[in-house]
Amino acid sequence: MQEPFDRFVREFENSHPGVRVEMIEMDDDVYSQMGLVTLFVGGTPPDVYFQWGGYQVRRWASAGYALDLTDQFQGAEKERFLPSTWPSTLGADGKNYLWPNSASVTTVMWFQKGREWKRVAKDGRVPATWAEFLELCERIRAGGQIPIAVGNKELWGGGNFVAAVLAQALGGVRYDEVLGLKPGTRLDDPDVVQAMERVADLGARGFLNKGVAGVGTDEARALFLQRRAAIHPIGDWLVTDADESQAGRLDAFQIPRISSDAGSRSTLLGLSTGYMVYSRTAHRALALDFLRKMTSDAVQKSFVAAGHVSAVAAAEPDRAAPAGQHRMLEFLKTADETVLAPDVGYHLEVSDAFLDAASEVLSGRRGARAAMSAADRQVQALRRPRP
Amino acid sequence: MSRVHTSKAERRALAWLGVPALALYLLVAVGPVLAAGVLSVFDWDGVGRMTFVGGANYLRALGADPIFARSFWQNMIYVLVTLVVEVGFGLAFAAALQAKLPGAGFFRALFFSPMVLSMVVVGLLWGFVLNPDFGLLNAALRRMGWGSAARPWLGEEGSALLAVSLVSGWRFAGFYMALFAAGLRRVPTEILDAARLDGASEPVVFGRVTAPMLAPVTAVALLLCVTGGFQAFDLFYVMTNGGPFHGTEIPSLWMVKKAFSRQSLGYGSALGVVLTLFIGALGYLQSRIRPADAG
Repeated sequence: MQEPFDRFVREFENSHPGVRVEMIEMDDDVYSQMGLVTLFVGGTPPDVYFQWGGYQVRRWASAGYALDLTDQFQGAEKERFLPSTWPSTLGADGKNYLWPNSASVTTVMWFQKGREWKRVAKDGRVPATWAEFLELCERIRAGGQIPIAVGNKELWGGGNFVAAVLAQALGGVRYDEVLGLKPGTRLDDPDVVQAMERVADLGARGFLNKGVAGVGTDEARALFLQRRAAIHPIGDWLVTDADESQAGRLDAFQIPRISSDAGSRSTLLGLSTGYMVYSRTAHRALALDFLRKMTSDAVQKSFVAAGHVSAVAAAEPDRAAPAGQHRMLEFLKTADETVLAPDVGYHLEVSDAFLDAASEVLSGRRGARAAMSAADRQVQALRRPRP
Repeated sequence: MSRVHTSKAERRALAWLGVPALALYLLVAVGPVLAAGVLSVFDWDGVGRMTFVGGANYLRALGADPIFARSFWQNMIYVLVTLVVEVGFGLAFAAALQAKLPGAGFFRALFFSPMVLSMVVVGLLWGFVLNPDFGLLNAALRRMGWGSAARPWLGEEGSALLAVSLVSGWRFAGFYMALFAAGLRRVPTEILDAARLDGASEPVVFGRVTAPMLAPVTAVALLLCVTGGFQAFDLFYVMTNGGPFHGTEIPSLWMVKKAFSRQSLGYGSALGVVLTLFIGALGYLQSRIRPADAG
């Protein structure tokens, strides 16, 4: 991904004599926790800055550090992007502040194709319903493999899996209302508890690896890639980070439909990442031109060839790309709705409360009702109107 | 008169020599503490508007944050275990190696070797050793027929804190061994020989002569272990990230999570101020009760 990006930057500089694009690169954690803040507070704000969609877009836009990009995405220009990208780009005022660059699937169920999968999945058929999913897990377990490898030491790995089940069960609108603390909603709503009980049931049936709460996402991935576990719920980066031999074996299915009105629609946990433009940049026209060119079909196609999952609909992977990469695009295009994971889409205190509860439910430490009631108490203060 | 004049000039020169160090100290140690003190009375996420909240963050830290309170207890348990494992075993190793048995040099190097590894590497290594499904420890237990003892060591509250404490002990026991070995070499052999001539057994010689003469080194070791224990961070961050279920949460880790991961810089700063005062008070108390000749 670095090589085509660098090439694009060089071409942009060549087409704009006298302009030099200075790139500041940081580790993800450093950038999100203090790096970007330091650039702004230190008086050296960047003209254009990377951002994860959802909560961070709302936060930076509300702070006045982001240019309103709504006018840039009208009519045909808006239709160039996957519809699933747009919820991530909105500020609290409903305007677009993020220029989408990549579309990301936060949690799907990965498996490794091959003889073993064909046997347990009955000719490789992926489960369409929750009942079929349970049957599949039972067959995997009977064959001596761990059905599902989950790493939740960092809280987001398993937490996102639980959130994906919740979103599939409640539907996107309701999921968004519950985690968004819409008045009248509760985290221990009976429907929420019922969805969490499905997750608890997976643990009770012995379908999860041992000690989920102490196993990191890297360790869970190792369990899966070593074929000790058959299914691994994680995001699209599993295939983009995999080496060539592994990537060819990887395929995925979505969280199965759940037999309820909302659960019969396909709800995907996804996220768009992209770039924001500093509201007081001295190089506004250049910044917008840079982003427009970067998200052109041709440039995005060069990124996709390097493993990128593009937010631009026309930038599809070619036939030689791993099946998993094609599958991600298929999910993004066919999902009925897309919602954000708790830690990127919602208030961080809500995310904390939900992820703690999810961890307890996944590990069987507490029942779904008790865990969600505790989570609801934890966020009570946020429901009260602030003076 | 000239002597006084020279002395003043010397003092002034000496004072100027200290200015760079003092400035650096103020900049990197005192400055951040003061800044944290200021931030701690605001509600601020790092980018939005700063809202003055007075002592609300402190009230929350001391009265309405059960995880912060719990993290202190867990840190104390960690310190107690590490006192036994790091200082206790360090002293035992040093005393054993003092006996100049064959291979003492090899064992000294062996016990000290974990000290050269970074904490992050230690945490990652032991994370894989303790993994419930493919970890070395559970595999060894099963191979020896003790499969029922195999467990997710870092996935259960009951064992995770102990596991991290023991790994910390493994890492630091060698350091305290080196410290005590240096102390033991300072004990005059003629005093030890005199005790032996008087008929004292080796345990009595150690308990009545060696240990009291090691008191200053022991005081330093305890100070380092206790204050260092409350500054622990990296091993917990890598091995458990405070989990499972906050069972290995310690104040420093909770503070960093709140301030940076949860972008609550005001509250995180208040936690930092509380922790700084706690460690400062602990150090002061320890300095008051340590032996007079501890240096």
